[in-house]
Amino acid sequence: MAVARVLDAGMADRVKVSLTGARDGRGFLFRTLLQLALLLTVVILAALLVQVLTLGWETLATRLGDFLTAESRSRAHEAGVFQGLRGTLWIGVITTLVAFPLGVSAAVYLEEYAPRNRMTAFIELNIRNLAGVPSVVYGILAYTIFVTLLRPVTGGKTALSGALAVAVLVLPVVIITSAEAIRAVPDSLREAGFGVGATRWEVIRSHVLPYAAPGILTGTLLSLGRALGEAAPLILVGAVAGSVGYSGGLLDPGQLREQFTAMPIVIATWSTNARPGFDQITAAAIVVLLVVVLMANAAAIGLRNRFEKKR
Amino acid sequence: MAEESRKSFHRDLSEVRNDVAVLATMVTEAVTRSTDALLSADMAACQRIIDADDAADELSRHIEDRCFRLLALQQPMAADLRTLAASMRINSDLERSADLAVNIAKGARRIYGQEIPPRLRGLVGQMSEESVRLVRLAIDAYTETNGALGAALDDIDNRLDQLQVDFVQTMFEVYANDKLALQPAVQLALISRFFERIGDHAVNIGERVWFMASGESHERVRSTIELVVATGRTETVDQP
Amino acid sequence: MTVDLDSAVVAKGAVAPPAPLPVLTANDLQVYYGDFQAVRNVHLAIPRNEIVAMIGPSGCGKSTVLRCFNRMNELIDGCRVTGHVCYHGVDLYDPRVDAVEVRRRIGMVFQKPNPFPKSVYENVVFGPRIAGVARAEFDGIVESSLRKAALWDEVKDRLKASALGLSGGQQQRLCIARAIASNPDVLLMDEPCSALDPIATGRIEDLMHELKADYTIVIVTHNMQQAARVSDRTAFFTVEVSSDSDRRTGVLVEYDDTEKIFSNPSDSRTENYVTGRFG
Repeated sequence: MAVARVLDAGMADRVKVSLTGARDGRGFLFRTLLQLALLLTVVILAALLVQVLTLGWETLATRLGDFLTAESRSRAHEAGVFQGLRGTLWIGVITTLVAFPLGVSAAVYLEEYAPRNRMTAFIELNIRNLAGVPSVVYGILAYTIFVTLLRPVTGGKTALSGALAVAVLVLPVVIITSAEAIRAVPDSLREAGFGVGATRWEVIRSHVLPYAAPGILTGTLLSLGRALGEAAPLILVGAVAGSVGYSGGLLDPGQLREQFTAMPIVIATWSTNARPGFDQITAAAIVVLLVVVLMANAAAIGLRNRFEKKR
Repeated sequence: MAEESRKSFHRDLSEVRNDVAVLATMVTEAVTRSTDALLSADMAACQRIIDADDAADELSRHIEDRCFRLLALQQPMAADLRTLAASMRINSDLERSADLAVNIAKGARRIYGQEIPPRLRGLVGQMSEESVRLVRLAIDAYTETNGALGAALDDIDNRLDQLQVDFVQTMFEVYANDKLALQPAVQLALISRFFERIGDHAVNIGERVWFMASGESHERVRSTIELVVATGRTETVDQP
Repeated sequence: MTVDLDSAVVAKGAVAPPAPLPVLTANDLQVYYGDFQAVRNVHLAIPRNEIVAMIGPSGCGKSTVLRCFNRMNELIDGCRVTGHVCYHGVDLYDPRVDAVEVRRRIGMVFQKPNPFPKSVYENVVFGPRIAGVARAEFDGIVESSLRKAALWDEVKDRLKASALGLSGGQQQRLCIARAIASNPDVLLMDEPCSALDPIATGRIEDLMHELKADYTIVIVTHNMQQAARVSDRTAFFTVEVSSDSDRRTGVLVEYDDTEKIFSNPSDSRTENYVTGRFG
């Protein structure tokens, strides 16, 4: 049957009017507001970067090598960030070695083994709350436990104590992000494993962890990068606000049992120094810390891509 | 589409078609054998034909069950659906034809001891051959899904109809010359009618085959053809 | 496994037409989620080398019953089973029976194709690998399993490619191959075609006909016509809503030859369901 002939002539016009309709004015306004919010964020970030780079540029351009290898001095043009870098490096290494296995294990237990009861829910709630506790509080905790109680192990106010303090600080975040990543593994994958007679451990090892690995790695390393910029807990466990007496090399693990400082401490100390030239080297130190954190993030992204390809 | 799907259903469907062809063969054999028994007055053969009908009934029931089962369980579509529907009806046409062959054998028993005049013997032989030929053509059309052959059976059947008319005519003449008693004359008239009915069933089968192949009812085709013949128009005309 | 035969199971006798050698039997099966009863009084016997379909409206417990046959229901928190489910006469819920061993003998195919995000080859050998089969046998297992699943010709040139690159129908056949590779003798299928198009569905149904020679198959399906097409026997489940509370419990209404269920069912509830007169 010829449909076109059945429709009367006015029909097409009426349909056209109702289908095209008026423009959505409020939607347009909303969209513009969202764009402004994004613009504002980008502008603030860019201003921050430009300010730090222009201020620190002279130092970085003229004496980068010296700046990275020199120790902290009282005269700005001789001072360097070597001790801060060494401390931050070791804190990063130990924090990763402690927080990653502990956090992922806890997350696997919570998601795959723990019975769904009030106790588990209570523990999960507390972990979430711990992630929101200010870092100063972790500093006090770390001082009591690592510096005082565990002095025979840590050696007191050492880089090891600092690293453990940061590890405890990031642990809740690592657990939460890992648990989220594990929860995002589709149940169909677990069923597939169980369905062919795999044990729970085989399902977790062969399917759940590989599938969740990109999410776990990204979350963990991003939280680590953020933690490397924390000054408060390190100050509380006794990071030195000046030149450190210990003189080992960058990769010397002796640092762990010795007095230490770290990049955020160096920056905080220099920024309050009113003598000429310190503004500039503070900015340069900030750039160095930014680069370190960016490198950690790049590693996170690189690892994630590798795991996703394997999926 | 890469590969056939629903293989097992299609296998079942072709088995149904085979069974129908087997049933048709049983019909043609029964017709030939009952004609022989009639003309040779072989009473033992008549009994064998009557007994053998149980096998045909059994096969027919089996085909019907099978078709019903496939309709109930397999949701046949399009050509498959038409094939099944047509097969069920063809099955009942064949089952009726087998019964008619048995009726011929029973008629032979009733005229036992009476001589059949030579002119009538010849016509009986011709009617038998013609009805067997019609059933064979119908089943060829069915197994090959040849709709045109199926539709043509109506015209082919004219010869058998004519033979029957001739047979009755001849019988009256023979009867008038006192060459035939009333009792066998009635029986022979009935027997000629049985042959003619077998031909009609073959025509029915042909119509089912046309439907199976084309999806159109035979009545519609016939009226279209008649209309074309009557008006000389060649384009298809829609029926209300 | 050395588990005693449970004589109580044989004695009660399942409500089913006379059947040769049941592989699986459910006797007086009750399933609870917490204190809520999901399925009540199921009696079923699944004969060897047959396809049994379980049909019924949503929430009638057919999938729950299916999962009781290889203890997959245990993965759901709070699920509890009473009564007996016997596999060759051995009660699967005997505390000495290991669920992992059960699942190696009674494989499962799920609603959504769920291949592992690995290669086709790795998908098939996962079961044999964890069962400790020698590596040297893997190639043979992969080929025979994929052949049985009617997938070999389509994937033999890309065994090392990711299984996620296959079409939905191919993925589902891969999942069947993966289940077969563990050498089970029962395959449980939980709506295996509901995510597939009609052509892929037809292919899986053909495959089931072929697999019948070697395996016993239990399939849950939302698609009545599919149950009619593929199965030898059909179990119809329905939901009973209790009058005082709003609790919905699944019950087995009728279990019979598929032809009987779809052409002349004994119970009016079955008749109403298969003819579409059921609300």
